Amino acid sequence: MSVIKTHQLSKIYNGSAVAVHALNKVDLHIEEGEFTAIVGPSGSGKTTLLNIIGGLDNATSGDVEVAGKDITRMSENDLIDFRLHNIGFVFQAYNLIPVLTAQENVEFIMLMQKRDKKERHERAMSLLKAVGLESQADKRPSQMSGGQQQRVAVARALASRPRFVLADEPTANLDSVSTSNLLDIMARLNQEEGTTFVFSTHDQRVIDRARRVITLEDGHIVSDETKA
Amino acid sequence: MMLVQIAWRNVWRNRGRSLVVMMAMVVGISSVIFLMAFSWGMYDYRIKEAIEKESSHIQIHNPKYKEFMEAKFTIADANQLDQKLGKDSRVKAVSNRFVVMGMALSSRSNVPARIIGVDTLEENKTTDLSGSLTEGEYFTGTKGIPVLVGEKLAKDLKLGLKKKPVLQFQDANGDMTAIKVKIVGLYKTNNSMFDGMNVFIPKEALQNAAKIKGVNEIAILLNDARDVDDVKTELQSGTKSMVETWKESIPELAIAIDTFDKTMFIIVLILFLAVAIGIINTMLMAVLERVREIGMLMAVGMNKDKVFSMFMLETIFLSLAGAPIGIFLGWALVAWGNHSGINLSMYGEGLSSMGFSNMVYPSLPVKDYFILTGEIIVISILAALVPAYRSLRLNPATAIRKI
Ligand SMILES: Nc1ncnc2c1ncn2[C@@H]1O[C@H](COP(=O)(O)OP(=O)(O)OP(=O)(O)O)[C@@H](O)[C@H]1O
Ligand SMILES: [Mg+2]
Repeated sequence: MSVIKTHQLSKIYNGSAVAVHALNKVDLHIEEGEFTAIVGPSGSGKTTLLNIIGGLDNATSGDVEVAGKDITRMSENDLIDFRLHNIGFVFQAYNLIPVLTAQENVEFIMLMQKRDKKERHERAMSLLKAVGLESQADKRPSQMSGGQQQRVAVARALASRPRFVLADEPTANLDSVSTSNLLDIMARLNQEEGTTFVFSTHDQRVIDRARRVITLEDGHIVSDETKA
Repeated sequence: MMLVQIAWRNVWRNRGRSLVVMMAMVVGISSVIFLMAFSWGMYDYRIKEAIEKESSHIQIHNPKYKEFMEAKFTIADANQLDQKLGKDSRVKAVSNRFVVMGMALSSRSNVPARIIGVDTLEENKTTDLSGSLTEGEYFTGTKGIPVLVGEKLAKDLKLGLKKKPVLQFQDANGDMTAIKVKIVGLYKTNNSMFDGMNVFIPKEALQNAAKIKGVNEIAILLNDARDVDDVKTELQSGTKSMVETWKESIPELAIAIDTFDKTMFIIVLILFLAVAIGIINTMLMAVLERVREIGMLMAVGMNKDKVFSMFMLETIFLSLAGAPIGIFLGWALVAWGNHSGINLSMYGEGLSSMGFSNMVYPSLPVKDYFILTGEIIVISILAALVPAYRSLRLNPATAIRKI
């Protein structure tokens, strides 16, 4: 079953001088359990696409169906709630609340979902364990490396039991060791837990790890390959 | 719950800045408290003095006396009133006076004077006149007519103790009359204007000279100032004479207090406004600094109510963190000032001419501390609305783009 469906999705930015067609009639289906990279040159529309399917931005035209719901017509507050329960996010940076520890950051999302304390605690610890950071549970983001912070962000993204995780250039600020480390964790969660990951990247090593690679150019999908 | 925690920890993210805001809060609150206590101390004293030495709590006149200021308009039912007051347990003392406006003349000078004929015993119970004497004695039997004059008046007349000025005024028929009197005592109150015009003289001597019987002023001192309005209303309902409380008989004082209250309110408002603007500014800065973080929070599912509450809480914490220290410091300053008193004799001239004491003992009713605390809370909530509202206007997609 498709967890993400777009139909003739377009986004036009009406900038100061000229209108930019950041996305141009994109038709895209993403199935449950995928491990998919969105690639393409800078300015090709990767971030725009991820933001729109993540319900962070509005499309200019076309439809977006996420987990069976048409999100283009949702009110802002419904959309926030929808994101909370259905989508996990990992950004390039500033993923974590600086004044909370790793564990609190992971628990925070579940707290907003009104889960009880025991469940929050147990799930936070098991997720931190899954990303290899149980020993760092009490540290604040500023006391962790960039790679560790991104792993906490992955744990946080999974805490809400989302339908899929969107990651916009999650490794852009990481060195190669941290990058492959993070990819290992994501791949394992994808294999073992069946978590759907969609991530954008410029990094060939990351592209190599993806099972499906969608290439954008000037807001068009120019290639869509699934590895055997 | 976690929002509270986040908000509190956020306050300490920029420690230096938060401490500056708290210092401003401490200084603002403690100086407001001290300022209020100082002026309250000053006025409280002034009011007490004015009542005890000058106006008493209640005064009764013939309405025409008030209008024309002529001694012949005496109080028709003075005797009945006096009897009624004698039986009232709320009344501490009553002075039946005969007052004439005239001049005090010496060989070197003449000064307008308010000549007050009193029953010397009654008057002393009502205004403690003998307590204000600085020289001489209280109406001791001598040859001639004894009078007490204010130090200021004596100075203006260039006369001292035992000297004999002449008092000049109109009698019942409108003819000028004069009597020679002897200064047996000088008094001094905190109000030099009062001292500059009031001459106290035995009542009969003045009545005889003016050829008028009866009294034209009754001054009443109560045991408890809070009964003033009740007693006034009761008295007024049984007489055609005019009954007035101190607020009416010394309207300058009531107006001054009122003006002063308003001025105080504005000063407090300005001070708090300044502090509030500082807080709002700091927090707006914090919101702008954290655009990405707020974008992230909204992206991952923190709804606007929660973002709003988070910033509300943070601002309120920031502004209230310093409040207890400020209140304590203010209280301590007031306590210290109250204990040792603050000497204003440097500026004494101007103050005592308005009836203020040179020593001020700041004090603030407990009630005012609570009102102030309430005001601080309201102001910090209002101040919190601005940055919290500002944070809502962020759009996650644009905020996230900044990452
Ligand atoms: N807020 C905006 N206003 C105007 N134009 C925008 C805005 N955001 C993006 N664009 C334009 O839309 C196009 C697509 O941008 P987008 O950020 O999606 O590209 P990208 O593939 O994510 O690039 P990168 O690899 O550099 O992150 C670009 O031409 C960009 O300049
Ligand atoms: Mg991008």
